[in-house]
Amino acid sequence: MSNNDKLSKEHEKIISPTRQIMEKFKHNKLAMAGFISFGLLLLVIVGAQAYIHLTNYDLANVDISQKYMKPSMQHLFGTDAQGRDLFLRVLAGGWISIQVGLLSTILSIVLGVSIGATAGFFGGKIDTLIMRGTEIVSSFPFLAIAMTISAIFMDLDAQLRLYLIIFILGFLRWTGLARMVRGQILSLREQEFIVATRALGISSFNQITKHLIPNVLTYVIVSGTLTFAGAILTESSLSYLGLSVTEPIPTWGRLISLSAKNAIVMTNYWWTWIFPGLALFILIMSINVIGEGLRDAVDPKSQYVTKEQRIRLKEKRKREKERQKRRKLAKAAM
Amino acid sequence: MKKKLLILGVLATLLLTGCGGSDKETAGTTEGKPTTFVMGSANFNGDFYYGWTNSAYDANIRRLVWGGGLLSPTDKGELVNASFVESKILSKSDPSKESEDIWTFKIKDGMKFSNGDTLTAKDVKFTYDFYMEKEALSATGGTSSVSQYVDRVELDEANNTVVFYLKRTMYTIGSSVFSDEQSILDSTIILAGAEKDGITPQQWVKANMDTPIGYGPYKIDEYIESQYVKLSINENYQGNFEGDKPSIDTLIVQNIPEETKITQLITGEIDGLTNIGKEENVDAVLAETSTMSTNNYFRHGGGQITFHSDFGPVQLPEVRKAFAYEFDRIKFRNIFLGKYGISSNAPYSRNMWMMYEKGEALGTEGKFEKSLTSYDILDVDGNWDEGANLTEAKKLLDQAAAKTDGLYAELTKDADGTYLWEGKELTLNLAITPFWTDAINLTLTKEVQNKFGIKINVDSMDWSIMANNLYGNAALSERKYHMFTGGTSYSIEYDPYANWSSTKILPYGKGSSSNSARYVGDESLLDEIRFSNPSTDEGTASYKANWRKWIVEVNKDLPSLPLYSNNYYDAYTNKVENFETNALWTWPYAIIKANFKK
Amino acid sequence: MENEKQQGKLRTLFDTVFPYIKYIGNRLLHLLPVVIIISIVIFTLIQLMPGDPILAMINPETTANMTEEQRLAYIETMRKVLGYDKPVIVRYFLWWRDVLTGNFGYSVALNKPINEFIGSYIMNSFKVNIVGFIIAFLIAIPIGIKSAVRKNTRYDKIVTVVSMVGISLPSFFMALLLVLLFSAVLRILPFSGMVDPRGVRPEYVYYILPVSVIVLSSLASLIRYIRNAMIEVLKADYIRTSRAKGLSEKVVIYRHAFKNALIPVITIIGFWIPALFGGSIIVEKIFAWPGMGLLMNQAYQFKDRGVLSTVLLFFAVLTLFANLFVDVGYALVDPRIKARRIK
Repeated sequence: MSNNDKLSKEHEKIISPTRQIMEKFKHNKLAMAGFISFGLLLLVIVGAQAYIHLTNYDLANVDISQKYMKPSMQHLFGTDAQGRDLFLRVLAGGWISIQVGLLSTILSIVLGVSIGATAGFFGGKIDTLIMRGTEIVSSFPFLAIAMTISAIFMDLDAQLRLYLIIFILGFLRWTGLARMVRGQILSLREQEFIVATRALGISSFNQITKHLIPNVLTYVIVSGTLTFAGAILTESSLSYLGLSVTEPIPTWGRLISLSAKNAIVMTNYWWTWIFPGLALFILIMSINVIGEGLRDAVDPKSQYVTKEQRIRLKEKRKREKERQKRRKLAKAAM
Repeated sequence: MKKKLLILGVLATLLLTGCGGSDKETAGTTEGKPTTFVMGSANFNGDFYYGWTNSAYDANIRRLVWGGGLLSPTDKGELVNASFVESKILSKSDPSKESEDIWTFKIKDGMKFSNGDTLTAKDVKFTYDFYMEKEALSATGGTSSVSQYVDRVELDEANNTVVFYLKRTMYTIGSSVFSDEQSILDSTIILAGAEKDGITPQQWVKANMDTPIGYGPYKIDEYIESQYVKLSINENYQGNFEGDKPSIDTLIVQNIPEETKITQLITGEIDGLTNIGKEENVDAVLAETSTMSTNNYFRHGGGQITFHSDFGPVQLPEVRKAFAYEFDRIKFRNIFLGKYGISSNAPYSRNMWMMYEKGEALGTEGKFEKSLTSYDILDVDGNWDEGANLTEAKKLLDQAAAKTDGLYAELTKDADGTYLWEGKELTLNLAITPFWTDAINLTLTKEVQNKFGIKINVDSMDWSIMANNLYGNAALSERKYHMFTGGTSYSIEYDPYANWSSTKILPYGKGSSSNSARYVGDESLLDEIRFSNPSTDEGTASYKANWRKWIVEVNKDLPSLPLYSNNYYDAYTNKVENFETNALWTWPYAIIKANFKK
Repeated sequence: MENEKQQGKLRTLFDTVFPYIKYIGNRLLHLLPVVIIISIVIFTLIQLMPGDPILAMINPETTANMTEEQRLAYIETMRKVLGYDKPVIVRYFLWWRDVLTGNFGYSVALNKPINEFIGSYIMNSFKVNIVGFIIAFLIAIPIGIKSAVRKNTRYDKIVTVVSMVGISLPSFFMALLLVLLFSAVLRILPFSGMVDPRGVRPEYVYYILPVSVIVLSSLASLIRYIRNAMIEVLKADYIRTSRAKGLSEKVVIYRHAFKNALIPVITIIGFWIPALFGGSIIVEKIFAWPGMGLLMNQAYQFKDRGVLSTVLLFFAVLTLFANLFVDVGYALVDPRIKARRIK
């Protein structure tokens, strides 16, 4: 039989776990769509940022005579209330928004993973103490802290204030991740391969960093993508309240807020919010979709469903329905 | 599947039934149906008695409920006897006095409050005593300035007359003591309530702040906190200065969020909106020619930058003026509010009659205004001429740097052409609130600062902190700021002494909100203005002449730089007519004359 | 005989329940120092807010016409009223004393004791939240279950994408888009407020838009939870057994799987408890809805320390209890953690 010939050793492929994840992810059409759109968006934004740097484009170039012009060939996205070209502003805004999300997420992850791992690994009193600390931080109302700190540091330069906001965002968001990591570590701890490392006399630090954390990393990445999306959304809320950066630095949140402060602006000058809104939406959606795709891909119990399998499942369900109908008719006949 | 259909069905029915009430037929139809007018407003505090929170929106309700005090305004911005006042007699306590300091008011007989309580001279005396009891008032958090002007009040009950012995008559005594701030309280209900609850009248009023009883065109039927105030016509109202009585049966003043207020006006959800300033909003309203009518006027006040004239480089008027030239107010105005506004050059508004000659219309640029120095030099097209402003600024700074007497010694110019103050680069610290941040940042860019040679540090802070710095309520060692942004509004009768007298300046650290510019000008001029006799023609002419002199002085010295005065639009549904508002005749007064078209 | 049996039953009941009671009691004990620390942090944060609290509250229009001595007297009075004439530590303990006796302090923004108005603000937020959450649940449950059953099919994917819309937009943006669509363009819903001043529209109509915003923003995660919990349960052996037994798919899903899937979901509700009493600052502002969000916004604007410290403490304690609820729920469900606890 030709199939048996193919069952020789050379045809056996051993796929590493990472490779498996990637395969699963690639087969998830939705996730790939998200991935591609994210990639494209990123490309355009980076390109625009390079352009701005190279040409020393002045983001503060107010020109009242050009205010509120509809989208045209000269101004692809139209102009804003100060007569500035919105195309570049939206792209520049993307740069900052992504920076904000990325930096605060990295901070969150670093804090969350290290604190959660320490708590989970050492257990006992250290665990209790850390968990209580986590509770304290997690019960802080984010907006309250953000507003208070923003008020205290009002006289900082706008750029510095942005980094302060990033810090606040990251610093207040690590608790969920820490809890999850701790839970994971708690369960992993009892597994054989960790017991083995202990038996081999590997130091605690190495146990945590080289053996435990890599296993948790996949969940961390999934959680990280969602935190990233959340951070960008929070920044836009902060912009609306005036707690984020100020002119002339644009972020998507800011561009949307400027327009969203007045329903008349939203109706009469729709281009001031459609483009940054769309961009924000696409970015967040693609990140969410990627996150979901990663989560599915990372789950060892999930298998990607090929087209043939899907068709088979559909057939199965159709058959089940027929069976039920027949049973009903049979009952009615009785 | 079924569950989903059920939910969708429920939602659909909800939406459909919700449809029923949104037709506009209920608003202001005619033929005997009661008329209702909904005016949009920002949130009120519910403090409808004068003396406590004093927000402008509470004040509107107060004006609807009372319509003024012993004196009430006309549509020209003058104060005349209220309709329940029979006569007002002025006399002098001593023939040697310059102006009348005894004011005697006779109240008409048979006057009533909206709840039927009688309105007599007794209520007038009660009101003024109420506001002059300082401890009782401040114990509840209230304040009043009446005792600054009034020595004592005497009641002649038999003749229904009240006599005021004033400490000194001033030109603006009418608006300070007798106008709509000092609405007459219903002593019957207040005293009865206070006795029943065993508290002072002030405490009773504080506790019943949102159910005021007045004698004005409307009375409050319903008040839902943060939502709306519903008013209906007060049958006992005696009419305004012309005897007009309101014809709109129900008035609803509704709290409308800033974000959707214009849309709500245009779609007919509300019937009127006042003080529309931003260009986008005004344009949207003006575009609705088939459904909206508008009134427009200049704001009686505006935004400005106040200098601390006794601190740092801004002690020199040349520095202040150079900054004024550096600051492109036209660009700022356009960013901040759009094209509907002007920048005046001294503390005046185009609603002040003193600015105009006979024959000139209020609200236009009169001869006098043209004669003042403008700190925005324009080119032939009417745009801000950077070169010209730059030349002026440099000229002033060079002049000042060349002088070496007194303070001028501190200002020098080094070899590179950089201006130095006390040896360091000339830097001014500007304190602003977040509301101004965007517009200031885009106007005072690094470029501009470098060109003009004056560096500006902009710090944005909370209003209360800025106010403390502005009023001098902070530690002297921490004093940092030379200039502050802010807004002012002028009262109907304007007395510059209140805000500009050097007697009001307190040493830094003690703090006072008067004369926040800490400016020392011609004090005797201010006295002449304030003590002009309000009841003679010579007094009025002297007031006008001296006031103009003072305007010229502050225009030259520039203790504060006015930035903008909005061109406000009041918009309302064109189903209503005869609703003429202006800066001195605001909508609570104007609505008395308004009516729905037949 | 009967008594012994009953006693036996009671004894086993006791044995199973007691470890949980011990766990909860233990956690509550640990909660106490946490609450104290949080209160100190909140109190300190509020004190750190820049600006003199008394001066922040004084409206300059009020004091503009006062003489200097009047103004200073006024400031002194307010200082006493608000209790700022005492040192910080004393104020901290006084604050606790007040809170525990139900006196929540004085609001400088609204110029009245907090007790008088806080109840209605909380109720207003609560009303909208509870309706929103219930509707979100009613929608999410059938959709989540169907997604789990039809895993990875087109239905599942569409649900994923559509529900994500709700969490891919800032809430204020969504709110404004809804207002524009339904109030400005279609003109079938009111723009703002809680009640019709003309007395024509029924009250529930004003709930529709705010509730929609809440529903849309919580649908995604809720559907996700239910779906994942359901998927986990459907993989279990006992489900395979009931299928093998020949039970129809419907019975399998609704009678067996669903109930077990709900357990982890119910624990997640614990996280929603603090959210029930809060309100979005921005969304409430857009709808002029007088709830906690609007109150907090005002408090920040006016630096109303009384309101801020009380409300922040309230939410902190609420969040702590919610965490406790969730942890207990997890312990009940996850056998591994169960084992540790009972050890």
